[in-house]
Amino acid sequence: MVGLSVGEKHFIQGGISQDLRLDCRKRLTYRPIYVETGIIPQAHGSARVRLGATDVIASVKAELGKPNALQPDKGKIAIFVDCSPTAAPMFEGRGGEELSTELSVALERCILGGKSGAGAGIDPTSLVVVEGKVCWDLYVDGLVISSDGNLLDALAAAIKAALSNTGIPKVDVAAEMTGDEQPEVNISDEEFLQFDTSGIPVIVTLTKVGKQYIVDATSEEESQMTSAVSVSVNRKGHVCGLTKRGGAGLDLSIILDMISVAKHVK
Amino acid sequence: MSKTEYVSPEGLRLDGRRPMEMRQLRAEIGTVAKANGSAVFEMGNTKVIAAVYGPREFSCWFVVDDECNSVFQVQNRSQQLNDQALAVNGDITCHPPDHGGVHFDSSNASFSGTRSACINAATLALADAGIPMRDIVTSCSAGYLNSTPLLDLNYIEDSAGGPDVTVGILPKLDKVTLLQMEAKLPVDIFENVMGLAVEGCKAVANYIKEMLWKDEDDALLKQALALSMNIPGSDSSVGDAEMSEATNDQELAMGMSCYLFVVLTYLEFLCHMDGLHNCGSHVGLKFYYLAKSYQSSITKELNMLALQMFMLNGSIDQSEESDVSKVLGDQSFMPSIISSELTQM
Repeated sequence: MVGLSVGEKHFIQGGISQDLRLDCRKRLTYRPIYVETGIIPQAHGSARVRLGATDVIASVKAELGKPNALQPDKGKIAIFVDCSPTAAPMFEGRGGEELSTELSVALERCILGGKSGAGAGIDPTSLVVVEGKVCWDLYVDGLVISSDGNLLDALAAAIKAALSNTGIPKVDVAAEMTGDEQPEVNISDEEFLQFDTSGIPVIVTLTKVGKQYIVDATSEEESQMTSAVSVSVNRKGHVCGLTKRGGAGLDLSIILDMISVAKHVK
Repeated sequence: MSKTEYVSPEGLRLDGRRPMEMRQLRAEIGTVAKANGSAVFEMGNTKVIAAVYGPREFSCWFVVDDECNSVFQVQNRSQQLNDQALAVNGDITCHPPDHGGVHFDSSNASFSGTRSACINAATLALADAGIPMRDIVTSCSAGYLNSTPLLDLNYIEDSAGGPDVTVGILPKLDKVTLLQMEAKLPVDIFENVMGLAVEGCKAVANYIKEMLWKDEDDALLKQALALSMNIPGSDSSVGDAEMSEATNDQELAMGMSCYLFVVLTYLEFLCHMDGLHNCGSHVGLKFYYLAKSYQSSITKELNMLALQMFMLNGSIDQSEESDVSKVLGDQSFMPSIISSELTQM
């Protein structure tokens, strides 16, 4: 965490109330975003997103597995985020775990939808190979290399890019099997299926500092926040998920206002 | 499962390399903006990110010997060997309460190739952070499959279960800091394989040097590297009056002495001045050689004069003067250092 002097704090808060931030941005302006895909050749899909000094990598690996007994026609997706100590020394050992779990859960909620799988950004039925027996398990891993605020947005963007970069190998299923036997599958090295990622939402985090809210906070601004709302919005403008962080309570009207701002910014 | 040919009859390996060929190296420094020093090192498909943070308060273990060696806490997810490899190199003189933390992230498989890449990345990150080091540490692995010594094993070759020798060296001092082997190997073949690995390390060292020298902006880094890596033009072994002439660039000498100043203020060398010439090619030493070369006497006052003289010598050149005075003026450590040294003595 950055140590800010009283003067600096006043400066940040004062500036924000006058629509001027530390790096001369407006309240609702994002930092320049750089996206690079295909950086990890061993993974099925990968992407690196740089948002100012925040740097995250997401990678997608797919493995064949057995689908959930309750949902035999759906594949499984697991999202896991890891805050590495390279991002900040306090993340060594167990230090980063709390933040990691918080981010993982928030991302799962936004991208994967509810328990029943309804409303998810990725259609899990597209992951099934043989109904009830074989499906693809997607493991999405996020790695935070450098943290300068607004990790959630960067991670969501990286995951979206990585998934669009993912190629799931084509699978040929051998002759029909009966009963509980596992069918033979032939994983093709050559052909790949691309994912349809137009449904995957993007997360916009609005951070409240004083009476105003800003988009894409740096770590200094985040240290001054009273609360933050992360809204996940997809291409059609539907809200897919909502996460609120921070201790201060928010008026309902403010929340609605923030949501509309998020849609607009997106 | 049939026996896989790791080396084809024509002498090509699985990925098309020759047995003595290394994988493609790629290095980049300054990747983690928030870290004091950081680097990415890629050997083929293995990619390692290293970041250095410091100085910080340390909690427990600290090794102090007469050369005031550092403590270097290395956090590594899977392999603790890097710790030892670096610690031997890490004659990083710091003020006792300081220590640096080096963190690694390897975003690919974990096998011996990762270890080498980690060490190389760490070296680069430390250099990027500007930590004074005796020498860089480079590392490479070699193995023996199908009766051929192979340099720089990739994942498939490493999983084959054949012997695998990982070597870490200090290129300038020509010393081995890390040596590790898995599986069995007859001794005479071992010599070949280890020799091959050392050659690989030297190739990595050359690559790293080239890469760091290209970084034009960081003049101070270059000077520090010039000292540590024995670049011709800054002959470090002799350490005489020739130093300033040998470095064609007066600014280089000036910058170096300023840099050394910062290092030296933290050392207790002043108490051990007589024993200095026994300590070997420590970076801090060279400065004293310099100072001594201008004055034959060892008394403190004259040494101070020597320091001052040396500083002034450099500022004769007009173009450099502004830089020197900027450095001196900014820090204003000159008077404070001299007074502190006087009081310590």
